[in-house]
Amino acid sequence: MENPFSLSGKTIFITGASSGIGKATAIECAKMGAQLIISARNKNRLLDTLSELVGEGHRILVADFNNERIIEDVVHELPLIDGMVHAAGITETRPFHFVNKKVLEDIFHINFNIPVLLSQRMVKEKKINNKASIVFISSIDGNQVVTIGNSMYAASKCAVTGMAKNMAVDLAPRKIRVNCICPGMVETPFIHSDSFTQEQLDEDMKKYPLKRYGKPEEIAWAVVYLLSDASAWTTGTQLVIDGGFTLL
Amino acid sequence: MEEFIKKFASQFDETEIDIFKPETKFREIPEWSSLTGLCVMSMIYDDYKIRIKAEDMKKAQTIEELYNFIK
Repeated sequence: MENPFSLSGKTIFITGASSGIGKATAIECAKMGAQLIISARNKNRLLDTLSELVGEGHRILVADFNNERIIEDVVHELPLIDGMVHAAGITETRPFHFVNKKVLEDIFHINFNIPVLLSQRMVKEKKINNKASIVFISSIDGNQVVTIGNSMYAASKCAVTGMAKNMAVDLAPRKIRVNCICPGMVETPFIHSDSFTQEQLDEDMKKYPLKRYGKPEEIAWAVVYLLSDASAWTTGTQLVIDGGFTLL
Repeated sequence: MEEFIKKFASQFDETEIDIFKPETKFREIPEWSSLTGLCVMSMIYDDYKIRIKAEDMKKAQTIEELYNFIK
C-alpha cells in the first residue's frame, strides 16, 4: 500500500534550512523521499544541512532576504514546486517601552513580508503546482499566549496566521493548501538569544506538562504531514505542538 | 555614572529616587522583576550600544557592577 505520508515525487522549497526547525524539516522531508531546495543566508551552514540529506538531487539556494531584489531572484531560481515551508524567522526581546520602528520593520520583514510575498510571487508566476502545500512555521506566541518582551515577534506571528487563513481560502480553487504550525519552545539556537539565562529557560521548561521543550524533528514530522497527501483535506489550520503548554 | 543611574532609575515607577546609588543591590529592590531586567538590557543597548547577555547580567549585583559593563 502506498504511504500517504510519503513525499516521494514532490519538490519542496524550505527557507531557514541552515538551523533549527528548518534544518530538521529538510532532513525529515528528505527521508520521506522529497526533492529539496533548501535556502538560508549562510552558505557553509546550508552545505552542512545538505550533507545530512538522504537521497539525490537536492540543492541549495543561498538567499539573504534583506536584499531588495531577493524575491524576484529566488522565484526565478526555483523550479516548479509542490510545497514550500517558511521556517526562516527572527526575534528580538524588548519590553514594549523599547519597541522601535527599525526592529519592528526588521522582524516583520523576515517573519511576515518575505514569506507572504515569496508565496504570492510563486502563485502568480504559476511556479507552485495545483494541489501544492504551503506551510508557515508560526508560533503559540501571539496566537495562543504571550511572553514578556516578545511583542513584535508575537504580532508578526499573528499576522502570519491571519494571512495564512485567508490564503487558504483564496488558493482553494487551485487546491493549494495553506497551514500553520504553532510550536511552543523548541530546542534550537533560536531560543538561546542571550536575553534569558539557562536557569530561566530550565524554570520555564517546568511549566510544560510534558516537562521539556520540543525537539526540532517533532515539529518537522508535522510539517511532513502537512506537505503530504495525508493532509489533502487540511487547510487553514493552526496546528499547536507545545507539549501541552497552552492547556494550562 | 550619574547619568547611568538616572537611566537605570527610570526603568522603575514606584521606587523612590534616592534608593538608587552605585552600591545599591538592585535585585533587592521590591519593584525589581525579570521585566525590569529586560528593560535595563534594552536601555543599555539603545543608549550605550552594548548588548549585555542575560548570563552576564546575572553576575552583577550592584548598579556600579552593571555600569562596569558599559564603561
